[in-house]
Amino acid sequence: MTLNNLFSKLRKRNKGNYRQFIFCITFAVILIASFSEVIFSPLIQSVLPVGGDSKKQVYMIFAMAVVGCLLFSIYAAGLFLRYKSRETGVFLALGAKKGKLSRALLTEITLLTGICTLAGLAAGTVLALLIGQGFKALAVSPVENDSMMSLAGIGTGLLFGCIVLICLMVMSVRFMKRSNLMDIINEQRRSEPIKKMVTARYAVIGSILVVLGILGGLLIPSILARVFEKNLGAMPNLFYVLALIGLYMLLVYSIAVHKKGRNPQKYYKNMISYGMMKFQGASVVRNMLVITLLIIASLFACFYGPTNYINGKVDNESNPVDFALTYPENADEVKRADIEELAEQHNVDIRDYREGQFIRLLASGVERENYDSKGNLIEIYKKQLCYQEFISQKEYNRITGQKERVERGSYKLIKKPETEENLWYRFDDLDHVKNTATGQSLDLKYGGTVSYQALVQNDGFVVNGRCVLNDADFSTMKKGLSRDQKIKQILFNAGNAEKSYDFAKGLYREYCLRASEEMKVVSAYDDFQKKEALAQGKEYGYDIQVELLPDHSEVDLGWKYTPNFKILNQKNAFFSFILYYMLFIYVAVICLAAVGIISYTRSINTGLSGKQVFDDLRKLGANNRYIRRLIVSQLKKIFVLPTSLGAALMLGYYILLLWQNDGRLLYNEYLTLGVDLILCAIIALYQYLMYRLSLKRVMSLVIPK
Amino acid sequence: MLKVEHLYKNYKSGDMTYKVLKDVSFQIEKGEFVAVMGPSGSGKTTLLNCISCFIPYEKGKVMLSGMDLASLDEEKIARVRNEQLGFVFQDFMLLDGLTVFENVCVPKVIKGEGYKAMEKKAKNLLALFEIQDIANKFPAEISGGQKQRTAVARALMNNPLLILADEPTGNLDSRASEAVIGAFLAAQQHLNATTFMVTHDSFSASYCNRVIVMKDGTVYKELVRRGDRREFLEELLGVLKILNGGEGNDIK
Repeated sequence: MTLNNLFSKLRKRNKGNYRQFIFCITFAVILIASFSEVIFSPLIQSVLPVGGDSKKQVYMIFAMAVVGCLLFSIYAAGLFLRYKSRETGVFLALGAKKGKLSRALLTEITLLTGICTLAGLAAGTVLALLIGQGFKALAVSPVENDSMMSLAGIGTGLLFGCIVLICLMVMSVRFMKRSNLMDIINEQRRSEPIKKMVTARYAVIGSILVVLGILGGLLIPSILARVFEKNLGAMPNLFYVLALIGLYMLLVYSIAVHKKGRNPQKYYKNMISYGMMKFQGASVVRNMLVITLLIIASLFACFYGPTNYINGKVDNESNPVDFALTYPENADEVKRADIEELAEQHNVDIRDYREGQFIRLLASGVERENYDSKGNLIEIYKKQLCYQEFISQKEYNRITGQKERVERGSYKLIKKPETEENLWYRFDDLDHVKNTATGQSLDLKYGGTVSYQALVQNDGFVVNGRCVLNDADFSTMKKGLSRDQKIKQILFNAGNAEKSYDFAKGLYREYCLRASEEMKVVSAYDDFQKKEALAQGKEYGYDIQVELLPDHSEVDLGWKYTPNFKILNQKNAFFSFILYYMLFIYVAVICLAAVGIISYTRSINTGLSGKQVFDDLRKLGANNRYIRRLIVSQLKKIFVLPTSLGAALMLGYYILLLWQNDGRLLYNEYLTLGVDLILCAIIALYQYLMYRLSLKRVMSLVIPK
Repeated sequence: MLKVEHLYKNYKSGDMTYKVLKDVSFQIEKGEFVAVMGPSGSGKTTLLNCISCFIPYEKGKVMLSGMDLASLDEEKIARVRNEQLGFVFQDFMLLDGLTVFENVCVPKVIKGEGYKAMEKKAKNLLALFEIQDIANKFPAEISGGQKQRTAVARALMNNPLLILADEPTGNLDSRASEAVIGAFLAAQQHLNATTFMVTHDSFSASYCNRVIVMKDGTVYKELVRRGDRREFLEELLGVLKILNGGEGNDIK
């Protein structure tokens, strides 16, 4: 019999602890490997514009996922070491050399983590491939290589495994380095009571700080921007630190303070469990805070999907026109005859077909991008800022059926009904236009707004937006313009709109195939701004060639001439965002996995720490039912408080977020909140299941068979 | 054989420093069975932990067979723990994944001895403490008294110079306590083992040759058993009564 034989016997007989550790580390690697393989796959990379915000957003989500996975791996390792502490302590007390035990522990951790990493990488790759197959089955992959396997992804998974290993090795070395042997032996019974004096003021101040932190972080930047046109940069985020401190204080109060109050019966009933929780207070509060924050993060990720989906759906449904497309008149694009021929092939009845003409003029405007050192918004008026599109009053009324009147020398901005002015965009910034072909210019006054969703560009904001001109002014400014400066607008409806999906796909395909090279630009592209930038020797960031995908209308390319087909928007709404949904769902899953594992390990620690007390209580006559009640009371606190606090805070924050956009809650926002409530209920159910699982495990640990 | 000289130990909690051991000195000879008693907080367990080198101390000397334990490096301390000290804990500290026999073998396994000598020694000890019938059982399957006798057998595996026992009967009923004390006496009688035991139980302590009574971190009194155990128990209870301000019996 050797020491290694003994270690191997102990491993065999403590399978449960090893299983738990292996499951957590493998699960973490699976999530990270599959997640990184998905985001680094040709499919996802093809739909994320280079240098765009969406790419940054996805990488930010990825960073969150890594932190979440690392966190729960560390907690799982902590529990594993806690289980190992007793046998390590006994071996040390009986004269085993620390160096030898350390080497054995490090070898064990390295081997286990290595195996978990390899298994996780393999399973993660399989999962990523399955996701790829899913996309293939749904026929939403816009690229030929729809494999979700990528070397970069596998490399990232491997790197994550190495980071986990380093963290676990540091933990193991720290664990073994402790000089006080009694600490090692008593690790499982270690107590961490809250040392500070906690009074009711803690709860009051904590609540105030939470409210102040959320309001300050969210509303102060918005108020400052709207009222004083000031931007404090990242400063207001410091308010969230207040909210965090407040949350911590509330949790400390919930663990440390229990009064007889009006219900002394309840106090006495729970007195023992209150006392036990208090004894482990510091670490319990730390764990509860992390759980609350992870619940908030997972809900934030969960809320993204419904918000986007419902907003898009409601927006689409309110559009009165089924089909809208626009292109420069010099492009060899689809014409009425082509559309009608295609409609006939698909048995679609075309109704209310009308065409209108916009002209492209160089317009003045106010550039608002930067802030001065005091945080004031810098406004730079430019007589020549960018191109805008203009339509005559007569033409506008004809194609929309409205009866708008525009005075000479003025303009009306075409916007969505719900669009409001904000700090960066004003409706009345425009006061001058110029025909770049003839040099003819015209001073204009703001004459109000009109609404017709099918004609709106850039949400209706004046920069790159569209306006209506008086007929005489339009006629003057149109003279001498080349065909590429004249924009054709086609609008029509379909008699059997619900059945026009194949027709819409065909029309989209034809429209893309016939698009001229000049048309293949991103929506923010402006010819004048490009020339200005190049003249100043600067690089123009929006000079990006869009690679059209005629067979994949569901991919949002950010194309300037993206047609607006209601049926495609409706059918593709889910697919268009599916990639983002998937990434956010991944983050939610990772956060929830971390929540589950941390709550579970905390529960086990609670059981182990209290084991001696339970034994003593049994000697005092407590039966198993009573012990169970004590455990239930403690576990409930670990699960219920962070879940309800996290959900309430996130819902409150989200309501404020939606409200502060325009000072009201719209119909689609109420719908979103309804779905968010359901998501909260699902997370509560998940937490309940984790609670039942933890309770079962703790009971098996503390109640002798 | 064990000499403790002017031992000081402090604990810190926040800004407060608690002096737990203050100038403790005593000596134990080979083959003696010595108990340490005293009220809670008097420093008994801290004293034992300092002697075991489980925790460091501020000042003083702990000499085992003329060797200053504080001067040893980690490697040598481990060797002393393995070969010259034997430990018995209040909550047994048996490894749940090993059988009684395997648990008893652990010190020799750590030492790296051949299995034949190991098996022979283990079997002898199991027989001496009448636990040979449960040799293949796991700790979860045996009683508290059997667990503690297993722990005593384990402590004696490497013929240590000294057995350090921390409340060995603290978790046991009177019958099991008697069996464990019997095990210590058997070790003393048959193996000339030296035992240093921290206890609250005056009945257990009455079996010892000597009892060191501690109070507030100092040695309050040393009582030597000269004759009958019952008389010694009476004497012990008398001292404890004074120490407890009138109440006799055990120090709880």
